[in-house]
Amino acid sequence: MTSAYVSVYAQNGKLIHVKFDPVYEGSSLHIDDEAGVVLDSTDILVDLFRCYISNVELIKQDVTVMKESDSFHLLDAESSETLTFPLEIGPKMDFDSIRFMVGIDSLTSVSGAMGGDLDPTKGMFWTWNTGYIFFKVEGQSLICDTRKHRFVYHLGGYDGPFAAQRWVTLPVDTSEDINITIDLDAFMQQVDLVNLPNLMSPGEEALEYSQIASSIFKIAR
Amino acid sequence: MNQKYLQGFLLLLIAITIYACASTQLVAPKMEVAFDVPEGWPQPVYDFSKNPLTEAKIALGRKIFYDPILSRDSMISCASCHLSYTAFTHTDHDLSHGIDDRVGTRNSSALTNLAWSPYFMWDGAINHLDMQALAPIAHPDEMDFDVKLVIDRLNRNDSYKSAFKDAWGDDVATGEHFLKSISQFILTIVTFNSKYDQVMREEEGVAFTEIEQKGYAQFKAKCASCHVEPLFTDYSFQNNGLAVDPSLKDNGRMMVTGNVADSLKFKVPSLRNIEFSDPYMHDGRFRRLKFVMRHYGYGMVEHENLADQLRGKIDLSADERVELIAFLKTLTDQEFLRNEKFSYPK
Repeated sequence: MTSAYVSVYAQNGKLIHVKFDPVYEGSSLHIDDEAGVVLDSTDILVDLFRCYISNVELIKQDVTVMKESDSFHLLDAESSETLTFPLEIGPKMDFDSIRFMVGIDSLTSVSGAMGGDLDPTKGMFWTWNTGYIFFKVEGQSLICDTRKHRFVYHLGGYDGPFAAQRWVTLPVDTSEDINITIDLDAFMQQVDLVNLPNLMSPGEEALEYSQIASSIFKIAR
Repeated sequence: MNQKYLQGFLLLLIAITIYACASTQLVAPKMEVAFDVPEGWPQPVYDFSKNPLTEAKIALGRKIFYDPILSRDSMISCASCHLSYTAFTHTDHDLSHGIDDRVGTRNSSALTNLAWSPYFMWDGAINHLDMQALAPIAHPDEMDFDVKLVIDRLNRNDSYKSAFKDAWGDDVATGEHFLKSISQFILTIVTFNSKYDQVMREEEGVAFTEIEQKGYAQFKAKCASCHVEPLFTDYSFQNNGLAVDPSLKDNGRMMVTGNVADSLKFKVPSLRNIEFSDPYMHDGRFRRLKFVMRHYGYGMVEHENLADQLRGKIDLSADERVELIAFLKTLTDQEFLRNEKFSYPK
């Protein structure tokens, strides 16, 4: 699906792990069916988080040293095994940053049915207007004047003026495992729960929110 | 000792031969089926290399197409709105109805020659044939279900387990295999043997009547710039001057692109088998071809973005209308409409 594996360093290499940690209100987000009650008027409950990370590359001094093949990862806060994936790197390969796309590129978006993390049964596909949902946050807050006080942010749009994929480049200190925090507090602080509690189609607002979404990925310290 | 060895070898040889013969028969449905492009037609848009046709996959797609298991209440199948005998559309219904007799906002399309279609739906909202089926499955007025739950149902069903095993070598249904199977069946639905096609191929003993020939001349002069032969569409989106139905408020292509210039534009549909694909237009407002003729003659609204070709109206005399309709009926492909390969699987 993506370009061929860059195998110059692939012989006798090693595995490193890229680990994502969606953090909300100071700790790793735990999705728990039992916890869906909002009592306090200031409470903002997040009970769903999923997003696509794709086209992962490792970079050394602005040169790509490793490009993952078939690089599509659906992160889901509800299942921790989806939050980590391995990368095979060559011997003595070092890098100073990781680059990835939040979303799915336009070519893949028009290529028909696919399997694995791209299987359209994963709840990350718009059926009425073809395209993947790149980034999904849902929850509940009394601030929202909606049914069951729910807010729903489904960000996507693969083509034309409303293309919402965003590249993220993060510098790393060592050429070891990479731990990335997804700062959902930062996202929730910037969205408009009063005037825009539901966003589920491509457009200007999705573009603006995708910009916010791509800014909340940070290297864990 | 030697003889025993030889006997053993012969037995083994026989066993291999029997196995080979048996497995050829088993393998046959898995052999790739070529997609035939009718002579003189453009190359299809669908990328067959990503989903090579096999008999087993086509058969599975056909089984799914006719199975109401896809809908929430197991009452509505694809064929409910796309009947093979009426060019795979919902005849006699202006707007198609789905689950609980709920009525949608669009007239169901004729599912023919879709291997050539670069997009799907009246407004082009779907970018790939594989993804098309997801829309009616999820639509609350159609099947009102969830593809994930459909897959769960298929995985609990023994006949699907064996059908998926035959087709894909794995009895577990996935979204990808499910959707690609539907595409396979749909891709085989090709209509290319109407009287028009036979005349164009100069087949022996087939000729337009005088009235059809005159109608063809009218068609080429006044319709063919959008309804381009041989597929009878150029796959563009056009505003063809239909008055807005206030009960539907359907903005067409603009709802997909968000671009005001696309307001009230809809896909130019193919005219093949038009005799049987009534009613006409995206909302099925015209029940008869003669109403369509009247619309283009004097019924059009001069919207700002009315298609250029339609400015100044298509003025046809009563005789010319009769001729044009006579020609349009030569686009009927009887062999296709009655083709057992497309009907309910026995």
